[in-house]
Amino acid sequence: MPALVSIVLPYLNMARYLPAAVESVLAQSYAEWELIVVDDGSRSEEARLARDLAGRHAPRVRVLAHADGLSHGASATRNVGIAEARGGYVAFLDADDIWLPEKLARQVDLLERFPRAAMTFARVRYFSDDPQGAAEFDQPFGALHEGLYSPPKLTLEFLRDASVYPCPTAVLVRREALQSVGGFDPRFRKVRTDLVAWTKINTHYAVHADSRIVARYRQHPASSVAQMNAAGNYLRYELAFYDWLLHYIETLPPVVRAEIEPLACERMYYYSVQRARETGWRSRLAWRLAVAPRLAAYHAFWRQSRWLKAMLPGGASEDMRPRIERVE
Amino acid sequence: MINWDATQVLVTGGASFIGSSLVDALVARGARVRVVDNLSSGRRENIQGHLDAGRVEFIQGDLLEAEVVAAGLRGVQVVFHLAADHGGRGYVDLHQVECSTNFILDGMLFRAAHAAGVERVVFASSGCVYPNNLQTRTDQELYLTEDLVRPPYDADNLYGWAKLMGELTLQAYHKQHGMKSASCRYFTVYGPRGVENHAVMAMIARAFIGEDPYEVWGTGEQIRNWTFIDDIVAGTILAAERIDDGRAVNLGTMERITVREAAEEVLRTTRHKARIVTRPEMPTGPLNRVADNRLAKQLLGWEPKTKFVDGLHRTIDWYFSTKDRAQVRAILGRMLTER
Repeated sequence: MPALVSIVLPYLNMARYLPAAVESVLAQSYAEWELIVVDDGSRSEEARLARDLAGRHAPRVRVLAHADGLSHGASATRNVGIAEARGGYVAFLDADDIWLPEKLARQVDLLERFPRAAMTFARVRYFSDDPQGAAEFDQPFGALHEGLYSPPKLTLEFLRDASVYPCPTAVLVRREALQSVGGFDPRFRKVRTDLVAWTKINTHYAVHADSRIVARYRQHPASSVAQMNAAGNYLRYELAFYDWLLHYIETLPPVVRAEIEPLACERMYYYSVQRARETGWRSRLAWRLAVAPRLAAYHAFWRQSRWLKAMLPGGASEDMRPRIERVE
Repeated sequence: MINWDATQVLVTGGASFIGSSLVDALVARGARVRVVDNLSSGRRENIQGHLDAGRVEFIQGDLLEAEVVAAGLRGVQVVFHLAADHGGRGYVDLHQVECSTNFILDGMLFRAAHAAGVERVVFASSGCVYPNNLQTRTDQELYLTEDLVRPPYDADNLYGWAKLMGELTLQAYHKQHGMKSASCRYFTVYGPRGVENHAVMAMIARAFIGEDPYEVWGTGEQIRNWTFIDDIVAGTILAAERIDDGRAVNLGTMERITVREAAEEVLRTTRHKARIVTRPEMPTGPLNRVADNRLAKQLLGWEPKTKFVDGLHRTIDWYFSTKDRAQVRAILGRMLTER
């Protein structure tokens, strides 16, 4: 009996693209799936379109929404779908992306062949439906290798090279693993939702990496990533992620934490200084810090020097500053 | 110390699970390697990469034939003698006649090696040389030290007796003729390329095909020290480098694992939810067999590097990612008592 895959599709005003996404699910060679579309507070017209589309394929396709009908961001929206999932495996598909027909078949087979893996991920092909847009290109695989990664090796790979970490559209996760780490973190509403969830998984479980292209990832001006880049908010989101990471690794066993912390500190430090420069904070100290080299020094400072942490520039807004109270 | 680069090596049984892993390590050290194997349990694909690369010379033949032995030994300086008629617990209990051919095989090979002027023979011996009567109680925290193999001998089946005679024969060759040799007493080896007739591999195979209820032979309380293939290979090569006088040394971990614990870890890791049923009437072997490995540490500087749980995970990764369920279903029943 093939295992059931629950597909969670968060949906926010993407009526233009949704039919293609759903079609790509219907075209899967692997037949044991349920599709859960979770409406994240779309406008009524767009929400109706999603319901109509689901209705044509009920009961395999269902539409859920937040209890209050409001928008809560991609993380909270995916969590609603995960809570309702009945399958042992959970896949994600964003409304503007498209799966290739063998996506589920390949990934289910991989999770059965790698029982230790809590998740398998593959690559996407980026495309733009604007004829004037950028040419299609494959997501890089970078320094990754195919096969199993024990925790927390992938975290390090993803921190070193953010271009290789998977889009939600390209993963298959065991539901029990996803639920045991608490799913997605609702504090991340638009971007880095995925990296936060993957970090929680690959610091606790072995994860399988596959270099196959399993989906097409649409690049368009309405996407969260495009909006972030357009708004010039990139650093703010990076800082938010590293702030989260530095707090999160406190909860991990000391050996695991020790592997991640130097790199996380280095990146936090780097982005903090970048942000300080960008926001016009150009004191002498910031410049000195900006050129102060070497990872070991960051590490030592971070672990031992509360005073230094207190002086780290955290950017203009109060909430972005790294919190420094830590219990050693 | 041996300069492997300039050494012609023969690995008997070199296409098998342990043999081919040893071949990998010897090739990596630069040795010129010849393999003789009758492919009764060995598989050509285990060494195919080396054959394609021209790194290994392969003679398919039976070492009970004198010409095969002679051809295998031609120009050889170091012999790793792993070939034997063997199997898992089901096989060594039920196929004593077949195992008795090892007396002939070992005797012929050692005699021919001496005649051919081979410098050194390393013999794959076994935990089966230890007296049965020491291994009957699970409530004892016993570690088998090498000196416990002494008169009155009480080896485990004809398989164990042949291994014991092999060790003693090599010691005699050293004493009388100065032929350098070493015997490595392997303890329940497992790892990638392992075969389903051994306990750990059978457990993994049963989980792979989704067996439910999940059978465990014996009461499950038997204690073993499963030892990972990489450690066995490293120890065997060190024995070649550092032991000359025919001494036997244990290669085994000192982790005490019950069969039931191993089975539970297999089920947990493979996410196979099944009810365990014990089959006390099936062949189980000794109840308490764990090596003392201090002599290996002292003589070879060897210690097992792979903990059971890590080695088990690696073995499961290999098994699940390379095997075919229908094929395993078809062979498993036979493999448990055959070879």
